Amino acid sequence: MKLLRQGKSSASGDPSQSMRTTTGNGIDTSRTIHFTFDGRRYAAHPGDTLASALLANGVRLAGRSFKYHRPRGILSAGAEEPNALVELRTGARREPNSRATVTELFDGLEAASQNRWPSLAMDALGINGVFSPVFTAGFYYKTFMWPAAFWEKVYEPMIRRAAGLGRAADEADPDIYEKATTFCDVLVVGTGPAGLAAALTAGRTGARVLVCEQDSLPGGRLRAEHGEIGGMPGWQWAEQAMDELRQMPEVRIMTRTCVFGTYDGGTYGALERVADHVPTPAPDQPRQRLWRIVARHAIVATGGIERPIVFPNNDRPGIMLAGAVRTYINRFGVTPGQRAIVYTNNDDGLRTARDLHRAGATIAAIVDARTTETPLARDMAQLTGAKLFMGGAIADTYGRLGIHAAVIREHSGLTQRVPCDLVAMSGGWNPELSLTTHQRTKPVYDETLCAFVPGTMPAGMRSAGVANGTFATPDCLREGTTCGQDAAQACGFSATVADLPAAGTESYAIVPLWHALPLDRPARTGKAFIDFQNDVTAKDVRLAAIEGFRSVEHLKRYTTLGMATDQGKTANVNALAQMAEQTGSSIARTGTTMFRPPVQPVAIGALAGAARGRHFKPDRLTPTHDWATEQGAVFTANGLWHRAQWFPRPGETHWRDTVNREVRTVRTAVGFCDVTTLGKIDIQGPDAATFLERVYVNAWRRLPIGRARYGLMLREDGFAYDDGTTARLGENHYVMTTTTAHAGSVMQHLELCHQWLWPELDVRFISVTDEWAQLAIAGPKSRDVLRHIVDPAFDISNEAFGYMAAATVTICGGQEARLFRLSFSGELAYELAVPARFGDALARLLMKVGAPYGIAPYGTEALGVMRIEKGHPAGPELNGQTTAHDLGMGRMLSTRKDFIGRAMAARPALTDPARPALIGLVPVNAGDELVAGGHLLPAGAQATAAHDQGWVSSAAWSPTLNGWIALGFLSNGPARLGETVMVHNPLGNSVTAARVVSPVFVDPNGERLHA
Amino acid sequence: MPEVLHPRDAVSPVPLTAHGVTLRAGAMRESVSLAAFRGQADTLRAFVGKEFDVDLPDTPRSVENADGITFIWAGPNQWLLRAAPGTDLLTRLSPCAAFAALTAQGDSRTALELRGPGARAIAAKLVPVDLHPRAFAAGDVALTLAGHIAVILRQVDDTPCYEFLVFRSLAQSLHHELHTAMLGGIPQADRIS
Repeated sequence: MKLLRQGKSSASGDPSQSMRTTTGNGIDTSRTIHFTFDGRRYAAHPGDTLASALLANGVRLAGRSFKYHRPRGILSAGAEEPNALVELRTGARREPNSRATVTELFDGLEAASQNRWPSLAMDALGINGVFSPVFTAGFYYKTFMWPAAFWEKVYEPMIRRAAGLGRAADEADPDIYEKATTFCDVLVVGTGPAGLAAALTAGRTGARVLVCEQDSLPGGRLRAEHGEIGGMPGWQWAEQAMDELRQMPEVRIMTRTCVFGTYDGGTYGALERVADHVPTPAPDQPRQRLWRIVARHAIVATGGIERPIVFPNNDRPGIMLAGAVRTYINRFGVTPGQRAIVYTNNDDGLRTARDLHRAGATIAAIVDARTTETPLARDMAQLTGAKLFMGGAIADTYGRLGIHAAVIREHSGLTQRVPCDLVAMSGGWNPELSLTTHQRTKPVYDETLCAFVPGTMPAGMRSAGVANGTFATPDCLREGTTCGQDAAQACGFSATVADLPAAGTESYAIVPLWHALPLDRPARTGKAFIDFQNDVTAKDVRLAAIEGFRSVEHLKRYTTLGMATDQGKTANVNALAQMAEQTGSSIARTGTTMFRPPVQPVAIGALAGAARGRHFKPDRLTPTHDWATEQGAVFTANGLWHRAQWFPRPGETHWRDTVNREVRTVRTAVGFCDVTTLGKIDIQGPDAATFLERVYVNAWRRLPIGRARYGLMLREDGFAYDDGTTARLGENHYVMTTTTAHAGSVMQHLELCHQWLWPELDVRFISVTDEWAQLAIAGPKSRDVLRHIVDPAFDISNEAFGYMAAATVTICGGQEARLFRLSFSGELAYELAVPARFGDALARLLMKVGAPYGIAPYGTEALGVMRIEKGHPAGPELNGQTTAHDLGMGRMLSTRKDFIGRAMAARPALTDPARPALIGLVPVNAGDELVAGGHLLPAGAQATAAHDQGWVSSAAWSPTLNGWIALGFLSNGPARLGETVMVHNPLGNSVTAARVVSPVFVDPNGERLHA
Repeated sequence: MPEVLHPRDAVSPVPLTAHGVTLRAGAMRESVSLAAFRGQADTLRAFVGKEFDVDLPDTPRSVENADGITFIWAGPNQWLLRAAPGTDLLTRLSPCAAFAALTAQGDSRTALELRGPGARAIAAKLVPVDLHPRAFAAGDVALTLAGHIAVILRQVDDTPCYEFLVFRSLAQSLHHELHTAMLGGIPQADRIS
């Protein structure tokens, strides 16, 4: 590694990168790229993150804190970053709350700070810090209690403006996302020494291994540290290991892929950032891809997250995690400060002094919280020439927009002010064990490591390396190897273990340090931050404890600790320890830290994948869809189906003109409508009739072959479920129709009844909804039209093929079809079913042969008007709250057999004659509009719930009766024909007088049906 | 002279290619569902063995006989037979109407074929099924979901080629979803450098 002295020209030859003092193992200094931050242009190198590039350019101030608007810098070098949240890109691609520490830089990136006004360095709301005594734990609960009306109008907008976390883009996301599923024997999460050792061992067995690395480069901490593995720098060993893995045909490596969740049965969620590191994705290239990974075994080698040390004013820009400082030096060639203080409670932190020294920085002091001097501490002080403070602490810091001095408190209690521009702190490492807790398996506290380590693991999961509380590199390699071997063997692959590469053993020797100052020090009342992103301090935790919020879950909700977008990755254990200290309890007894997916934020767009916009659900198209489109039909959604709603013609200015014409056409001539969407279920078997008897309320045994019958089904609870006609096509062969809405659920219902209730019945079902294009041909001229289509061998005269007849026929010279004489409109009508591929041709043929009879297609709206005119119940009447009695079908309930819902339908409340039952309504004053949803009240009664006697379920303008008509449910309705009731429409604030009439408005005696 | 009805395809028959993968609507096939009545599976099996010289599969896979008729497992004691137009499957199967439910399904399902070296990776964007050759081989069948759409998935050959049998009404949506998945490219798992 080439060392470059501060102030001289850097490796790139670009003088602007004043802090780029060395080369790094993860950047390409041969090329220079540029980016802007808050409008200012800076230089950087490929391989930089936004954070490393800002630090290279001497930018320390990266953002403002959430609550107090305190100036904040870059704390970490990884996904745990709580401070350096920025907006990336502009316009439709503007993305808030992006962590600068994991944002891969590309040429031309535009980034901006957020949560500040008017500028980052001069933020008006920074004054919040002055009022901070009121912004303490439970602030929102205590402050915004009353008056209630103030919440929506005053408090919430105010809080939202003050606490904004960046701005979402105003336009729709222009990028595309997709989802995929992959399977493997062994999933390895992380490519540090443990993960790579596991992947190599498992991969060499021939097992299917999937290696996921959230970073763009492999190696994990090996990139951040100075150590060697197998006689070469650790990061080189990692790249060599990756090269070997790449050669293995059954190993798949996914970089830039964060495994964010552990789900049931060995399923994992992962987000692949396909094109986040380029300005815009290539055409058709997804920006991100959401993976569902199904793994028989998983090895969590996710490393650790370093803890900050809690001391007064520990949040100033320039105060960083020690491990992050080493990352910036070794990986990015950036020295984050020229005069540093190293503050640690463990040996790992001490090594930061060495790396800083090598990079040319001055070490102003080494503050080691441990009271006994370790050999490493002495060596580091000697090597760097730094003054060593064993048993020391940092008691305070200075510098408004960046640290320029720290107050060091010696073990004796004496303090001294030491100028510095960087504090590298290490409170020890927490294993990153989130993935091990998503299945609610709890981690356990390890007193020696001062950290939680994975406890009971979900089935099929192991953890290795730092994630498992194993810190020294040789141990990580050994543990990874063992895990890889065990996992592969568990999948049936025999593993021979290769010799482990040599690596140096690093000491750790941590002591607990949960607050820099003793419990009784008054100075402790200073702002010592625990949760940087949500501005939660040690004092807040103390206050919560005093106020009785001692459960960790209560602490979290009361103080908002750990509830920011970083999920408290750097905060939770420190807070837990503070609570233990406050309550005089142990950490283990105080609680534990659990996590929920996702480990890191996942964009909603990625979760949606390709299912967005009009493709958020699939479309079902009828066989006549293209033809209807040609006819200019207006479509409506009916579940997934798209159905023609009406067919406008030139000169028709309102949809009702069209619908009225379609209704008149059917009533006076002939029309046709695609009814393919109704569910059609083929039912066959010796017990088919018995089965129908049990699912329908009415009798089926005597239905002759070649006839259809209307049937009603109840739910188990006795309420009406679905209706339709079922035709008998053969001795043991029926075809059932259902409503469009319930087609799928009726099929499930039948299967459930058969598989669980009556498995002894010999009957088989299959959906034929898509097999047949079924067109209703309705109107007095319908038979005349059909005579042009149905082959002459079939007699369709009224005598031979009467109402409710059903037959297999041939049409157009031999094409098999099914003909049913059914009517929803109340007219002479048929339904003709042809194999679906001929549906389009049948529609065209009907138009042609029907032209002399004045034929016209009609849509669902005319269908609806005509069924209301005929008093046929549909969705608004079969709403799940009505009984057979309510629908006027009480007499259909057979008393000679059992059927689903029979017993429950006999409950007194369901047979009460006072229940609202189906009636028709017409306005007393012709021309008054009736509106569905209106409440029915006795004439002259107050419009109160006490007087409510029913409701209007369906209403329509009837071109046949030339007036508004409605169906509704009225208490004791059928006994009240002729009575006047009031229809109260609270939405329109109208009351309309209506007369109660029979629900059958057209052809009450059914003469047309039999014509 | 009677009018002639012309069939219409559920989706455009024009093949689409992206990233070396081709999406094509399969040719119209005769198709019949065969579901054995209670206790009649062995009788049905014997009949099919004699008539078509094939063993009906008991697991989610398909077999093809010498005449090119495909027998697809479609559930316990249930199969979907697919054959070239003109085979007249229903007539050949009519003797088994006494011990099995026969239902024409030729128009019910549309076949969409995904073919090419990257077809496995594209299919994996829609179906939650392990398609690795160790787990799913030519002839294997899965009754599953492609995105939100129910399908009968079958590996036709080792190109690989996958056949998605989808309800006709949903064929255009699945066609769109498969094409979108194709345009998104073959996931390049390894992006180092």
